[in-house]
Amino acid sequence: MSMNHSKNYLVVSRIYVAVAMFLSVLVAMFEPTSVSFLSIQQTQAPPFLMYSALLLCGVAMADVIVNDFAPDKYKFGWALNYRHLVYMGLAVLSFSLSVGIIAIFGNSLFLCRLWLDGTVATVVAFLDILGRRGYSGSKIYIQPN
Amino acid sequence: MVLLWPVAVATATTIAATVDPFVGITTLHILVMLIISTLSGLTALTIRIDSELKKQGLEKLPRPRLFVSSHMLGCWLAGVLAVALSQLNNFTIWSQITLVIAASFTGAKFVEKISEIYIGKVTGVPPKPAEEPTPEGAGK
Repeated sequence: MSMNHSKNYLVVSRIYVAVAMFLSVLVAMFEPTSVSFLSIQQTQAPPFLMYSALLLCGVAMADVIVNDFAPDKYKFGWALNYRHLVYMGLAVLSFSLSVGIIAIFGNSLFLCRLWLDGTVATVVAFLDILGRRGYSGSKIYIQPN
Repeated sequence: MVLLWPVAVATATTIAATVDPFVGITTLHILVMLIISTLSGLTALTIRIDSELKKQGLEKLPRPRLFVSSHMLGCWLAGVLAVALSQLNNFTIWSQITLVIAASFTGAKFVEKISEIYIGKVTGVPPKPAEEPTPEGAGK
């Protein structure tokens, strides 16, 4: 697997996690028939936590759009430097959403999707931090800004 | 770091003997809280990896096993205690999650600092002797 292919897989994984978590939080906040909305409503999640989660997902989306798709003259430096924290935050968020569902509904197949998102976000965070900082054990090397 | 565990186990045993803190919650719930605790510890680990790799010319992590073990032991220890404490105090789900995240992250950073201070003193590599200045023109 060449270095460029590895880098492309990492970008695709990042896009997947950002979009999936953004949609999950949107559904949990604004779709009244969804399992996650009902669990959040019944566990009385504080609104500021949900809006913080939405903000975190927005940062991840902006990172993908600006740093991966926009021309090189546009940079979202903060999100690039702290990308590992953003994606670890997304991982914690996805597992936290699943706790609410477990507390209300017990088991649900929807949990598998949340856990998958959380696992991919964790892997992305570690691969990104090792690749971005030029760790010699990593096959992915991303030019530091 | 290792010495913290017998104290924690003894405390947990005492608490469990008097009041069962995990009554009323499922195994799946405890498992996911443990995963959240692990993720908080991994977050602390990524911060440390970031700061280590930022150092100029450093391409390999020094003592990676010590890094990982200190973070994980610290976060699990603090996470288990946080879950027990929040169950005993009847915290809501979201308060419990917030407490576990904060406690695990703090526990990982705390044990990391302690282990760095202690093990750095015990196994610290002595500094290299300064190179003697060579006379000008030597070796030409």
